[in-house]
Amino acid sequence: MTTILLVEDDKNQKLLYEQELRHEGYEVVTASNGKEALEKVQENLPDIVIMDINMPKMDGIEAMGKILGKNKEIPVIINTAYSNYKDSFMSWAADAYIVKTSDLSELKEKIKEVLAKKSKDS
Amino acid sequence: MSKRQATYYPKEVIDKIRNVLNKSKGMVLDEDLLNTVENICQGVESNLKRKKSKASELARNIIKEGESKNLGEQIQEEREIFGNIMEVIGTGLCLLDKDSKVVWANDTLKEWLDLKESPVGNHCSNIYQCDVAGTDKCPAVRVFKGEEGHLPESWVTTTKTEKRMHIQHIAIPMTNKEGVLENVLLLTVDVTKSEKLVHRLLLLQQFGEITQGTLHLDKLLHLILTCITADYSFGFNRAMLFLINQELDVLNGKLAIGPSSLEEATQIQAEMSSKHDSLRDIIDRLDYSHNIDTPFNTMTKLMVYPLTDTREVVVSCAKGKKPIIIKDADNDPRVTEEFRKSLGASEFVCVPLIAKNETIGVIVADNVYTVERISEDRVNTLTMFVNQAALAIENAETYKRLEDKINQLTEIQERLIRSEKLAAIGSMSSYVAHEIRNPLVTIGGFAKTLSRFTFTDSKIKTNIDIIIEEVKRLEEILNNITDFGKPSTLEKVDTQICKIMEDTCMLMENYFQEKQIKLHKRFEEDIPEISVDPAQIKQVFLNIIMNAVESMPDGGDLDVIIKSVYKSIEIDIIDTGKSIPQRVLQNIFDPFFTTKPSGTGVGLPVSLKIIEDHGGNIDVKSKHGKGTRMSLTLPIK
Repeated sequence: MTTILLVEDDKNQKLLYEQELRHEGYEVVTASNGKEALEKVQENLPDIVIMDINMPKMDGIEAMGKILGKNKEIPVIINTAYSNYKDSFMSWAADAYIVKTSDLSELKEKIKEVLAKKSKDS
Repeated sequence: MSKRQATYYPKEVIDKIRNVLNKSKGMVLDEDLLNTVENICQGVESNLKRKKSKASELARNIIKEGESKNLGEQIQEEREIFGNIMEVIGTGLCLLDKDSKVVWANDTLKEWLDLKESPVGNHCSNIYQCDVAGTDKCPAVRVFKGEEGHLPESWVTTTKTEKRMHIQHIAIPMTNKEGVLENVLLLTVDVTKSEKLVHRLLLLQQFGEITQGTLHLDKLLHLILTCITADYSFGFNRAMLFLINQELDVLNGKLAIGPSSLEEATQIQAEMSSKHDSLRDIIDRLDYSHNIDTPFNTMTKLMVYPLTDTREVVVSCAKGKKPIIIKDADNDPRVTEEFRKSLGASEFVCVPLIAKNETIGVIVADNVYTVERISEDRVNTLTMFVNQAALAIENAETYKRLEDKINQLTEIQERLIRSEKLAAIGSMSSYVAHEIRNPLVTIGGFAKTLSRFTFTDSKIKTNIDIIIEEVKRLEEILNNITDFGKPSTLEKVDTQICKIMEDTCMLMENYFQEKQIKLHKRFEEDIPEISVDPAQIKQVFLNIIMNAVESMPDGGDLDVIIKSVYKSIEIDIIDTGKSIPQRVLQNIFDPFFTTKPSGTGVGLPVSLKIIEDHGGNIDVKSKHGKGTRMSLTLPIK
C-alpha cells in the first residue's frame, strides 16, 4: 500500500487531508512541523511527502531540503496557501507546487501523476 | 423861398425897414407910428440876439450831448466784454462784503452752485456748500483779517450735469480809492481734472502695491480692466485684454470688461456715478463670475490673431511696442474691417503690455457709449498704468508656470504614493488572504467530503452544496487579491496589440452572446508592433471589457477601436451601458473601491498599474445615459 507523509500544522486541515487521502486508498502518516516530518521519514520511509510551507519549528522548505538530502528519490509535493513561493528557487526542487484550495481534486491528481512518474523511473 | 429868406435873414428885413423909416423922416406923417415901428424893430433885434445866443448855447449843448453818448456806449460795450469774460472765464466769482454777504456773483458760480435765484444780499454760508463759513478757516474771513486766504478743496455736485466737481476757493482782497479793504473777491476754481489726475496717479501707486501681492492671473486681468473702466480712474467705457501665446504665436483675446449695450452702459453709469471707491474696495468686492458671461467678453475670448498678421492693429501695436490711437476707424487703413465691426467703435486706443522689454499682450480701450474723445494726456497715463500691469501679469504668469510645475510634481508624488499604497495594500492583503485561505480550505474541503454521503433529507445535500459554492466564491476573491499583491516582472516581447485584442474578444465570445452584446471591432491598419507583456495586457483588456459588459445587463453595443495617435497606440473601449457617476469616477482607480455587489475593487487599479508600467495611461469619460469610454494609450517606442 502506498504511504503518504502529510506534513501540516493546521489540525483541522490535517484531518481533512487525512480523511480524503485515506478515502483515495492511501496509507497516511502525519507530522505537524518540519522537525517531526524528518523523524517520520526516518521511521516510515513514505512513498511521497505532501509538505506545507508555513509551519512552526521548521518550515516546509527547510524540511524538504533535509529530506531530499537524505533520500533523493522521495517525491515531494508542496501544498501551500501561498503562491509566491513558486518564484523561490528552493521550491523548484519539489516535484509539484499546489496552491491550497477547498477543491482537493488537483492535489489528488498530482499525487497520482507524481507516483506514476516515480514508478516509471524506477 | 421868401419864407426861407425871412427865416434866415431877419436882420436884413429890419435894416430895410429902418432905411425906409430914415428916408421917410423928412416927410413925417405920424411921429408916433414911426416910434412904434422903431420899437418893434428893436424888440425883434433883441429877441434875435437872445435867440442867437440860445442857439449857440444849444449848439454847444448838442455837441456835448454827442460826446457823452459815445462815452456811454463805450462803457456799455466794455461792460459787456467784461461780463462775457466773467462768464466764460470758467471760474466762479463772487464779491463779498465785510459781513460775508454777497454783493455780486457771476453766472458760472450760480450754475456750479446750482442757484436758482440771485444770491445778492445772501450770507455766503447760504449759497456755498461749505462748513467753514464765518469761522477762522473761511478764506474770506482770513483775508479780512489780513491773512492769506484759500480753502484747499471740497466736493460739490451740480444737479444740472449730474457731475461731481472738485472745487477750490481763493479769496482776493479788494480796496477802494482810499486804499481801505472793503470787499473780498472769492474765486471758485474747478480742479476736478487735476484732482482726477492725482487720483489716477494714486491709483497707479495703489495698483502697484496690490498687484505685488496678486499672483492669481485671472484675478489680475480682471483687476487691470476694472481699473481702466472704473469711472473715477481712467473711465473708459470698455476695455479688452489680449495676451500673446508664445507656443501658437498668436495674440489671443483673454478678457473684456464693459457693458455690451448702451442700455447696460447707462445703467452701470447711474450706479457708479454716486460711488467713489478706493481700489482696495473694488478688489474686495470683485466678483469674477460677474461680467464674464457678457457677449462682449465672449466675443473677445474668440478673437485670435496670428502675430504674423501685421494688418491687424492689435498685432502692429504689439510689434511696434507703442500705443496706437485710432481717431476714425472707418477711414483708418490700420484697422481691418473685421476688427472694426467686432469693436463697433470709431475711436479707440491700443496700448501694448510690455514686460522686461518684451510685448506680452495688448489692451484696447474705447468710449463707444459716451463718445468722449480720447486725449493724448489720458493715453499717456494709461500707458504708465499698462506698463505696471504688464509687469504684474508677467509675475503672475511666472507664478502660474511654477504652480503648474508644482502640480506636476504633486501628481507624480501622488502616483508614487499610490504605488506605495498599492504595495502596502498588497502585502497586507496577501497576509489577510492567506490567513483566510487556510480555514476556507478546511471548510470547503469537509463540505465536499460530506457531499459524498447520501442523506435521507435532501435539504442537507442542498445546504452542503451552498457551503461549497460560497467557499469557492470566497477563494476566487482571494485569488484576485493575492494576484494583486504579487510583485510582477514584465516580460516584454514585440506584440501586435490587435492580435491580443482579437484573442481577448474570442475568449469572451460566448459571454457576449449570453449577455446580448453586439461587438464592433474597428482596428486601424498598419498598427505597429510594440514591446509589451502580452499576458498582462490581455488581463487589462479582459478587465475593462468585463466591466463594460457588466454595465450593460440588458445588452447593448460594445465598440472596440484601435488606432495609432502620434507616437502611441490608442485603444478605445466604448459601451452603451450605465454610466459611471461623477463621484464614483474619481475613485475607480483606487484599490478595493467597488460598486459591484460581488466585485473586489482590484480590476481597474491592477489594469492602470499594468498600463502605467508600460508607460501608458488610461482615460475615462462617462456621460449620463451615453455609457462609458475607456481610452488606453500605449507608447510606440
